[in-house]
Amino acid sequence: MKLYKVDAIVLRSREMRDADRILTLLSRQKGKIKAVAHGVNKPSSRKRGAVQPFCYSSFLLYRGRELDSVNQCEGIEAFSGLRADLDRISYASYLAELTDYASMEDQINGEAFFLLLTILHLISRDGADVELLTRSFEIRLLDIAGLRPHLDNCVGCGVPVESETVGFSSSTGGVVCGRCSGIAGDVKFFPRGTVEILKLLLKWDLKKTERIKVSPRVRQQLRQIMQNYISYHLEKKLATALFLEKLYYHY
Amino acid sequence: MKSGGAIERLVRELSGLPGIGPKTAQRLAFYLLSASPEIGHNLAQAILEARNSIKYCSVCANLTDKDPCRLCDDVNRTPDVICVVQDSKDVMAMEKSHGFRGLYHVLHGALQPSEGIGPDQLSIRQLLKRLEGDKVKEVILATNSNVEGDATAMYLARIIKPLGIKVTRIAHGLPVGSYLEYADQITLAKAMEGRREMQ
Ligand SMILES: [Zn+2]
Ligand SMILES: [Zn+2]
Repeated sequence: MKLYKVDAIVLRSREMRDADRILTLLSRQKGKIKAVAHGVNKPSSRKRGAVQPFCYSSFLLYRGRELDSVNQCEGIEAFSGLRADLDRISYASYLAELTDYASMEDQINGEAFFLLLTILHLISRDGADVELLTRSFEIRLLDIAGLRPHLDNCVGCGVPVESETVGFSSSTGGVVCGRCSGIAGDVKFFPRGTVEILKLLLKWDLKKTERIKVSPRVRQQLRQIMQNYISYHLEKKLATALFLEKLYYHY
Repeated sequence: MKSGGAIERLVRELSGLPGIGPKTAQRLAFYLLSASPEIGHNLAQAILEARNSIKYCSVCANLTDKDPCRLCDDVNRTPDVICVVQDSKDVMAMEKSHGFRGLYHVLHGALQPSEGIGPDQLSIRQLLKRLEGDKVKEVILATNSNVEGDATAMYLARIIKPLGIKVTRIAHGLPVGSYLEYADQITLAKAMEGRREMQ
């Protein structure tokens, strides 16, 4: 069979010439897939809506020699609340790029798929705490990818870290006690409460994330910890992460 | 055979153009070679001339052969309304509609976080410069109706509104002549949002 059906979230939708788009899809049935959608930038195209970034759509794909192509598609959930707000679009782009990086082509990853689907639902609601939900998504995705930072015991000596200030090192992969703080050059210190919130973000039901009260200062620390950790382990800073930084700390 | 090489090259160059497949390229090439010599000659000349003289307008960033461009220079156009579009092609489309008599600004793209295209990659600084002083009363955001175009419009609204200038977005909805049942959910939602009271 040359045709196959998947339900997928559009992680990336890149405009090409002749009104085509190259899609990166995260599908429930087959994991990550790249496919071309022909003519979808024309107003007359019926596929136009379903191939927009972050859409959850059902696709009928045609297996090509080099690249699969979209034969038919229909939107299941368009997340229109997400599209109506620049912050949400920017965060969603980041979540999608992070998921893209953390997934391999043709490898089924149900956990990552449902995590992304849930988070897109959550951030498309009015008044959603997009920033905190993003932190929760990050640590969960790292957990799924087997890259979760150690948050309980010192990565140097293994003792539980219970002091008021806690060291954190991206390169050694987690918290560091006072005696081991010379273990790596990138150890930074944070109040223990900040690390505790990180643990909560991982443990609590994602839908309850917004009940956690977090001050602007702690949010900034959480962002610092996660952003450093992620760019260290991906060995690059994501384009969308840079975009978010520019959006909020520039102009 | 020497002439065979030249024809093949012409076909290859033509088929590299957007919207032209190998079949069409072949048809065009044979037309150019069989028609009177001036036709091919004039076309080649026109391409060269345009290519060598086209630059960006220092006011609106549109492609032009003179600076400021003819649109920016036209005294019959309303200077206090600026319509912001993504591409030079969009200016042409808008002009053909005869629906707008103000000035334009061409961004040369749209924000695309995942491709690393941020505000600095577009002609946004140049636009902000035009908004200094209080000559401009309204900015119309006519970027495309997709995620990138919407994000760009929202970003521009966010930085222009604080300047006390009216910011509007062109309406998006059902294409003229289309059936409701064929519209997708995003288009329908937008059409509903942009509804107007009947006169
Ligand atoms: Zn230790
Ligand atoms: Zn001009």
